[in-house]
Amino acid sequence: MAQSRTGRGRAIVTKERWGRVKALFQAAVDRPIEERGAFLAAATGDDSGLRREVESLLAADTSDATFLGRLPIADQMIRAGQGGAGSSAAPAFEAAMKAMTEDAAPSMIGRQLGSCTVHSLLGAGGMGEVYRARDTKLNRDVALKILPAAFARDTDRLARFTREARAVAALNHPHIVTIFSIEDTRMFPS
Amino acid sequence: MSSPDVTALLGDWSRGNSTALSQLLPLVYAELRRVAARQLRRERADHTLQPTALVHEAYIRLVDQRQVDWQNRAHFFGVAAQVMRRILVDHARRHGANKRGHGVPCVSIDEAKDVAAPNEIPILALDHALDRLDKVDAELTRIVELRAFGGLTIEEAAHVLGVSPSTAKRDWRTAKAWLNRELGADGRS
Repeated sequence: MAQSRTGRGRAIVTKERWGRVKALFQAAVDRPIEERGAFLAAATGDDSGLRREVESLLAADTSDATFLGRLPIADQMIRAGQGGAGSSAAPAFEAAMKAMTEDAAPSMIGRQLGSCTVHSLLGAGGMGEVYRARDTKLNRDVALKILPAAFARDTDRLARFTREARAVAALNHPHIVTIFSIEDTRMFPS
Repeated sequence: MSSPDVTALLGDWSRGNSTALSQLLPLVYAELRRVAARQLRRERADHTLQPTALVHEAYIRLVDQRQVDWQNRAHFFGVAAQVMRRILVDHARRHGANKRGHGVPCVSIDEAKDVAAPNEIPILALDHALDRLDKVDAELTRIVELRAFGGLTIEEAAHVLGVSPSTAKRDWRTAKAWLNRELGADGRS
């Protein structure tokens, strides 16, 4: 694995190296603070890089101002979690739910996409949502299949979506939907 | 629209088939959204959503209750956690993009800390950090997703990951330390 650097100049460790760091961190963190130094010195020998790596994690473990604590969504979870296991992370979940409904599909209705006006949601499935729309230039009703925004940045999924459209467009049969076009709209709701 | 068999997909995923997960994510996403939208319509705005109840309702609707095994519900919460992560990241990106009036912002961790728009950037910073963590330790990434985005307790997360609660607790502590260090909890950055 190639080593790359974070903005703070610390090398991202390889999996093998991380395995060592993690094992030592977990062994050290269970010990009283005053014994950790001697334990690490014995365990890391002359590998001072390894020792510094574990020490930096130990320092982050004892830090009061946790980064996660600065996250509004995780705030309550972390504070509740200080006392031990079993706390609820409901605020994060609730934030996600609210975000999800704010970004939700009903806002698509009434929108103009190219020459089409979106009228109603027909259904939703694994590969997207299907809307009834009116092509106002050609005066005909069309179905619009839209990949939800949360997945549209997933390049694999986007590729599969395009592949599906091309595969179906190659077919001509009265019982198979006719594909008129595939467009990239990249809309951001205002 | 025909819907793929979520029950079977959950089984495939729990046996290590990662393709099953990519098929599950949008299905769970769509169902959670339908359930959440219905609840929001039904209830007043000041009424808080009950996350566990929401996920459970989506689970009941998607998974064949005659075929339920003891792990299904736990795995479903695991998928829901990943969906929640995507939703929050997407939401943060969009709102960041709207404010700046152009496309999706690419923000490095350091820039994120400097500009410090507390409601949107940290989610993205956490997301990027989790991607980096995933490259060295996928198990730790999973536990953060389950706890931070999925609302699971240590015990529930342990169940989903198939590890003992004490291992889950140790890993959660390790993951937090890693993220704290990575994202500058020490106040120097």
